[in-house]
Amino acid sequence: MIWRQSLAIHRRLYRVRHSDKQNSRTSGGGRVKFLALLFVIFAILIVVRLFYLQVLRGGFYAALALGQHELYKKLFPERGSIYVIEDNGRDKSLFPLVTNRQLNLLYAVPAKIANPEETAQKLFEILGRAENIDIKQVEKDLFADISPALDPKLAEEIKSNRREKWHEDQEKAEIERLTKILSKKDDPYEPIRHRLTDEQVEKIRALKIEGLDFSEEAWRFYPEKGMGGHIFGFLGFSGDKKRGQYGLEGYYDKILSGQIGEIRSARDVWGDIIAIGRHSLKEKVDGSSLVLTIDRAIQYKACQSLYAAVDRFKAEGGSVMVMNPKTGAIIAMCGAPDYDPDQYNKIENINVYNNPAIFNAYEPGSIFKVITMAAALDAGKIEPETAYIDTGSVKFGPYTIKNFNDKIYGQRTMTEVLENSINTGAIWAMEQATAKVFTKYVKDFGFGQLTDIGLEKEAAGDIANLDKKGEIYPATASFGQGIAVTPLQMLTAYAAIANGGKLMKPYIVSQIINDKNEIQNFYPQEIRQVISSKTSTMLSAMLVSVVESGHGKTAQVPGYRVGGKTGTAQVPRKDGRGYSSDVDVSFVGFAPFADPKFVMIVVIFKPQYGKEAVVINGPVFADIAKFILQYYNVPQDK
Amino acid sequence: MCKFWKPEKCNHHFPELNKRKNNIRLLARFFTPNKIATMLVLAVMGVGFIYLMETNIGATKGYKISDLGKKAEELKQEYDKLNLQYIELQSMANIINKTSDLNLVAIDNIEVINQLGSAVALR
Repeated sequence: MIWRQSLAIHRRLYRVRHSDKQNSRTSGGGRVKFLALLFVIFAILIVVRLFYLQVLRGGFYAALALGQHELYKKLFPERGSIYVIEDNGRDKSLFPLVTNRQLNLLYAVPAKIANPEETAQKLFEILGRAENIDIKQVEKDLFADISPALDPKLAEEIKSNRREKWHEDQEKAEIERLTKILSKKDDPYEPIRHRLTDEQVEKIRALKIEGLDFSEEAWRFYPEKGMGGHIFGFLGFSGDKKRGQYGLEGYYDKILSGQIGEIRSARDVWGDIIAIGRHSLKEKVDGSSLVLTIDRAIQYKACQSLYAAVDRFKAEGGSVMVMNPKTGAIIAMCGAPDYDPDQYNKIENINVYNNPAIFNAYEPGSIFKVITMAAALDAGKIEPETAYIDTGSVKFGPYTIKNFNDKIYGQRTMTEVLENSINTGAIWAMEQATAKVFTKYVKDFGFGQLTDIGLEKEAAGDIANLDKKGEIYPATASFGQGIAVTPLQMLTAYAAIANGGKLMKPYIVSQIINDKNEIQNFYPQEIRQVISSKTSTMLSAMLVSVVESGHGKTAQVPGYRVGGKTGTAQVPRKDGRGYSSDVDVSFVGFAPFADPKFVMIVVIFKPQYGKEAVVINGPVFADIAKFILQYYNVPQDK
Repeated sequence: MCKFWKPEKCNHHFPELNKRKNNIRLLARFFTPNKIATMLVLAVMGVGFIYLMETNIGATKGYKISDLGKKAEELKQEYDKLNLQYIELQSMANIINKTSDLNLVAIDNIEVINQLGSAVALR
């Protein structure tokens, strides 16, 4: 009995315990599941986050990590300089026309600037007005409405007031601009001003303003002002990269710029290089330097004379070039309007960047008659004394070609044709040689082809008319109309005439010096013998006669026999066929006759006054020629 | 009887061996464990001192080199600046500007002296 009671109690107890256990199991299992779910959700979140960090943004964070434990730095090469050779009679040295200099960039960390207004005010006191303002242009605009007829005293007073007002406005605007920049509290970097002088840097440092700092920048430096920007071109931006454009900077960009190097190394936690870590170095290669054939003194003289002529005759532009006829080396090359490569972004019209000497293909006019004579003489069809009768005009179908000012010269020799620049005489000479032979000589002289002088943006000219059917085309070309040539082509052709008939390839770079000081020389290259030596001598004598007794008298240099030819060509209309009232005037010549030291071309485009080569170009030529002959110590020959 | 496992009894056979043995005994008596420990400590200290000295000398030299390198760079920059000034002063525009104050006269009408050829003066 007792045993049964005890068993019953045990069973009850067991049930109670069992049921408690079951209950507890049921409620405890829910919590576990909940917890497990939380873990799963948490794990999923981690996986999603990891997927985002490592897959979607993996590249970014990898780069970020790489940046922290790896040093990578580009090593920028120094751009090559452009030199000319200075010969003082005893020794030769290189003088840089274009080189580099380090200037300072002022930048701000606006987040650290405590008082933007005060800082802006103090900076303006040191830096002055905003850069890239062309004061000449500003004044031109400011005073545009002031009549020249106004009383000079009153005009000056008005100008002074306006100038003062403009400066006040500029100051206000610049301080406002700087304040705005310095007030950007979230901005970690803002460049303030480029090209600061050392004095300006010292003054700003003395202000001890937190948040202002400097870094060095390499800039091109042009020690010679007024030497012409067309030869050099400039170092400008192409996208976000600096690239040489136009002139030598453009043509020799790869050679001048060198090769970028790089350093890659592992860094420790403090950012220092780990000496035994991964390390790679690709050395930078500095750019090579160019040595030009240009003579600094002659270049300066040529440029100044050209600028004066263009200014005096209110011309649209002009070009002067001087060449050594024996080698083809360019001694001077100057164009107008000019620009300062240091301030290349200040020009209004990008056409100014083009070098008129190699880019402007124009109708040369009467200076081309010499090419016609060269063809006819060399073909043996005429002699300098060969005579013909000028009737004042020549008819080609519906077209009638007349002489300048409708003049009729009657019987004239070929020398007189050049002396008086007779159009019909040139046509007659061309006809003696035949159009086919004439065209061959024109091409042999290099017209219609690039000279490959080594400057960017060269034009080939246009002599396509000579290949057209019709007598009129070679007829007009014989006196320099209906074809287009560049001043450089014209100069090179005349150089051949002065050089015994040998056409030399024009060149402006005589040496390339690489970063290891190894020199690559450029030597004179003869392209071909265009005319015989005899023809060359005869034609040279005819050209001397033009200057001595013909249209080129203003180009005479006392004591020297100078040969040359004037040319005044009408400018084709842009809005249709025919010619406008504008003219391009040219003079090409050489001196001294017996042993030419130089050949020079002076071209003035669309002068408003003068309008004749004998008036404009002759004196410019004579001025420069006299300087060159004295500079070279050339003995007088008459 | 001289037995090989008792070499001390065989001095007459291996006199050299006996001599080396004596030397070792002497060395063992001199280089007691305490002495060796002291010497090792001293050696470590000595090497440590030399290392510190060399490191210091190296660091000082490195600093001097870096300082001289910095000075050389500064001098190069100064030289470059002076060179640019020198070049600028030699520019044509600057020369013409400077000479304009000197009232110089342009060369004109140069007379060239003709050579006399083979003619010579008589005494």
